[in-house]
Amino acid sequence: MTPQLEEVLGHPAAGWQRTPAPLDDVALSSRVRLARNVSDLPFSPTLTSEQAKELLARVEKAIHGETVMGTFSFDRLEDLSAVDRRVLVEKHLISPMHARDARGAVFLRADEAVSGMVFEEDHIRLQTMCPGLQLADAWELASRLDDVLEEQLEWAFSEELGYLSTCPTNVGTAMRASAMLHLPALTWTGRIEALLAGLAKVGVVVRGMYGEGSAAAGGIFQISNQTSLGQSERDLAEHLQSVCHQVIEHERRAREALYEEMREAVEDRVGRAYGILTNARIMSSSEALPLLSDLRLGVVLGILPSLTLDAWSELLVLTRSGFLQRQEDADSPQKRDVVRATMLRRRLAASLREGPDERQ
Amino acid sequence: MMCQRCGRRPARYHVNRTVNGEVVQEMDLCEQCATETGQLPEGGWDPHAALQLWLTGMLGVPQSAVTEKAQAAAATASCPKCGTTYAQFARSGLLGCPECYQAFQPQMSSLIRRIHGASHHEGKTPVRTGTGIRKRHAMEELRRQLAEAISTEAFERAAELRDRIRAEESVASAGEGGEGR
Repeated sequence: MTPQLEEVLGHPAAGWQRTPAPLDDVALSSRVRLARNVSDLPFSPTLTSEQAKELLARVEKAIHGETVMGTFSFDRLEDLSAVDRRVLVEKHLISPMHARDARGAVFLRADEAVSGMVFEEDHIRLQTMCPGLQLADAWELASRLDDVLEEQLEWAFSEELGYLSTCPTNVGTAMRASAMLHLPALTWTGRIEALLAGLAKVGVVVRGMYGEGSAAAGGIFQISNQTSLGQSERDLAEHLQSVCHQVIEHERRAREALYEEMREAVEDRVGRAYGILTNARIMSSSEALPLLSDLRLGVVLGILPSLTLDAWSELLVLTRSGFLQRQEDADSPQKRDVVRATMLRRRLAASLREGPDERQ
Repeated sequence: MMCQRCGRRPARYHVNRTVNGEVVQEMDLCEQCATETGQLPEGGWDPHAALQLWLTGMLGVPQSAVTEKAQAAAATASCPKCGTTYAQFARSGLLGCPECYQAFQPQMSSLIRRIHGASHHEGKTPVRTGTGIRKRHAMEELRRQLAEAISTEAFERAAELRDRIRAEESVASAGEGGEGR
């Protein structure tokens, strides 16, 4: 494993994950993924193992080391343990599907803002992350990374259909832009269902936090563009940005109304979450996520002024099973639940002691 | 991960129980427990079947007729470059190589229109493969401006544009000039 990846796997906080960021009271992150295929090789599902090796070697040559966008690590998944791959999934750096096939590879910059999967459904899925709601910025960054790769790789592209992807659902811009939004008040008040139904009509897709088929646990939803052909990347990103803006406004109003009309109930809920997280001795990840969701609401509403959003983001990764297993060598779910509870108690106690200003 | 109900078999399904839009219970279940607890439709949930259902729905072919029809079509529709058949594509939703987009016409065009509501790419053009495309677009734009200049009798501007078009054309005819960005 490259030292740069080792470093990334050992740290819960990603370099790009810094607040304050635009609309960070609701928007956790903005991401852009671009699918790219090399023009003279078959698509991933029909690649022979030899051709897959050839693909990896070419991408490694194009991106590994120094570039105009910084220094990139390049690691073959076969050199990583199952736990290492799981942490990469938890950090949203690779997809669960990519983690399952050891013939792939991952490249990334130390701040995790810019990365890519090699030999996924498409030859390359490159990805950029920005804090808060900044979809146009995430697209600009992705386009620059695309340019770096294109200096050495020739993409499968047609004038009519744009970037050719393995699945026709991604053809065209081959772009999937998404924003991760925290919508606890809309979830709590039950208004989320109507909102989600409405979103389906404006060309966006809503999913749970860990992508396709995953639960919208903890009131965290991923909103992304549905189609990729017929509109420019910038237009797609701007449309998604404006839809997210409206969702964020709804969530803000729901929060205000909740806090105004049911102050005790909101404070009670946040206080209970805090109480459980700082006192529990056994904590599963499925129990932790809704509590952490309540905690974030408490931070944003000023009920828990000593906790910062950056510290909260760290907790979100820290409490994931793969990360705990890798850090604490907690190899059984039972052990992990104990380690998770201990870690949460310590972290939250420390953030209270230090206060927000000393936590840099 | 093991099934949270029986604890003996590996979990294959992640099940959420939702009340008023809020996930109140999450469980990871194996196939058998998921079926026994009524979480799965009879016969289980097959992602390939689901995808096929979706794709065939897109193509407007009645589901029952799909396999036979697609198999029959497979004899004629296959990609000359990679050998992927249309039936294989209909099953997986995945193409074999860039050439498949051409090989599976005209079905591909109608499928893409149904998915995206559009049939023509807007947006980024790669620098490398797109150099020719880019130049052509630039020329088209110059010619459009020239026509506009002539129609509005802006003759100075028209002369300027004409010279630029001639210059571009002579560069193009001089062969592959290494155009950077």
